[in-house]
Amino acid sequence: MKCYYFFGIFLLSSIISVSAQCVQFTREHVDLLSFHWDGTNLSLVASDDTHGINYVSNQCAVVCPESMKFTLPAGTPLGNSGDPMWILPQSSYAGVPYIGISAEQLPSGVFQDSLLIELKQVDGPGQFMVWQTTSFGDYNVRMNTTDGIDTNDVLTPFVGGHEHYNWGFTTNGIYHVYFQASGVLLSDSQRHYTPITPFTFFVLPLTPFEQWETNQWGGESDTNIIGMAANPDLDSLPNLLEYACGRSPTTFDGGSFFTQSFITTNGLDFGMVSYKQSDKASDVICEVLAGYDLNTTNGQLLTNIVNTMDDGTNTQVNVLDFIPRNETSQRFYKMRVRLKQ
Amino acid sequence: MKLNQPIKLLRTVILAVTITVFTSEKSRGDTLPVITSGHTDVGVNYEDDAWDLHVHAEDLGEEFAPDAVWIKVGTGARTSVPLGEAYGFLGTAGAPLWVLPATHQDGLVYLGFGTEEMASGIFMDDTVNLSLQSVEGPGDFIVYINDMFGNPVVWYNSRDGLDTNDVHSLTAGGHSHVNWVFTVPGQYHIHFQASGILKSTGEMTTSSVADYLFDVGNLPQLQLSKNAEGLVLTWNSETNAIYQIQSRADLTLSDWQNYGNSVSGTGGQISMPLTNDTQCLFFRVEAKYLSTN
Repeated sequence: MKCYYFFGIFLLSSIISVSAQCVQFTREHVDLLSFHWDGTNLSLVASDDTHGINYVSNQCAVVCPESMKFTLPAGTPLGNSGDPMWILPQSSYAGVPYIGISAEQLPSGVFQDSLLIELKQVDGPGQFMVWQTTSFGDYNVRMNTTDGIDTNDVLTPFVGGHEHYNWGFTTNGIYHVYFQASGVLLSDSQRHYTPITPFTFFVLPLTPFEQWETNQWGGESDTNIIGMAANPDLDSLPNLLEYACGRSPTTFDGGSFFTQSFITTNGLDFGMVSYKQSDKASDVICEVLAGYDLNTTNGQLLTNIVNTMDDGTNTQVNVLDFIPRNETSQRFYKMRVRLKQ
Repeated sequence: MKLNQPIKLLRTVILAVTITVFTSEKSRGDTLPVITSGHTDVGVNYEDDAWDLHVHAEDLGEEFAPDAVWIKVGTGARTSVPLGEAYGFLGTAGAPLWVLPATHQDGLVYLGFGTEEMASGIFMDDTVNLSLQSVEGPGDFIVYINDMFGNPVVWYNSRDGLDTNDVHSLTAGGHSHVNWVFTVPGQYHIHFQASGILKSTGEMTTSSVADYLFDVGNLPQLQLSKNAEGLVLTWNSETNAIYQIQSRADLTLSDWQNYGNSVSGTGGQISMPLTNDTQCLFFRVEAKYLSTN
């Protein structure tokens, strides 16, 4: 009998420089979407006003604490009464990031006062909204993904200006929100655009897997790096499998994730698959599937777990096949790894 | 009015709802610079064992001592108390207000509180208190924010007197935008005082009282001129306002009387010919600001 080992899904990716350097904004005043003009190119950077530092978008992330989870009152344009909403508010709250936008870094006399910040894409578990309430409590909703994303999802800052908004998320998790800013140069009357730039929000609580992603990549948004099926260290283990077995997704440390052996019972040999699952990966499900050929789509799920041993870091799991070894057929085993729903 | 005598003019604004009378005087500091727009902060700092309360004009890149600059609350800030119990702390619905809003509005000063220059670790919990000590001016002064659902949260309010409620905590390294409300146009001196418990000694330190200057609205300025038909009074006006010229012969012995009919504001200059030239008269203009609701 031949045994083949397959590890989930493979994704070929180009070699990408991976950096885990990430500043998390937990209580600072940050003009997250700040125009920056170097004389040739326009870009969006995150400007930490508290410390006077600019950050590239993938080197920072904004943390929305669980304490900023609210229940929507009746009569708002944000959703139904009673719906949850995590909010980074337009007014400063102690211990909460105070997130604004800014065109204060643009030199005067260079751009017309027709700046735009357009919402382009949101990758996250829920909906994303940006709004202000006026002095007398009226809502001014500027971005809202519940009705899709179009040219109405736009902010219009002033040159030299600075504004604060409420930033809302309908559920917790990691959001990668893509913006593109633009402005018309006075010199050529042409609109100049920034690249479409992702900014990352950690809306707490994160799942164990999201927390692991955060620890690995911080504010990175590139799915070729952070995707569950991505393999940025090119070691043949996709990220989710690296997570499941407690390995580093940024270090080439390939090798078998599981081993195969035989157990003899009543004179018959049964294949046994053994693997180790990280205790920290509590939200991942590892399953062993068996089949007679490589092309079997899923194979049969092996449920006969004969032994588990926890050493405090990893749990070794031994799963027994229910078909004994014979001389006329082959058995193939593969591992399926998925997150709990 | 005898042409060979000096003409004495006063200007007075009477507000329709509050019935507060404001008589313009030559104010101290009339030669000071004026901030009329842009992002500006009431700055609170503590550095080198000393308090530093100031005005930080971000757009100008300048800092001023509190009483060295006027912060203009332009005519674009004029609004009215909205309907609804939630805003009763501002006054009677429909009463005029001048509000520098917590959200950026083109043409108005975008005024916040800033403690960004204050280093962390100086004060217990990195917190200082800023108390409103007194308000000198023709009307009341209120500061509040709106939460994410639009609910007002009052920080300071002189309408109900000043007490221990008129204190707000600011965090070192922080920054806040708030609504700055004035109930009557004119010039205000707003007195703030900061305090905090030093982490190093556990002792309270308190700043001197800082005098912040606000020039609110655009009071009508009476001017006298002469044309072929005679003397003419002119003044600047606002829409949604009614103006009434009043006169009296003596500043102490007679009462103010309406002079001619009231006039609706146009947003521009209003002229009124003077018909009575038989005596020396004092004039003032009364402005009633109508609800903008």
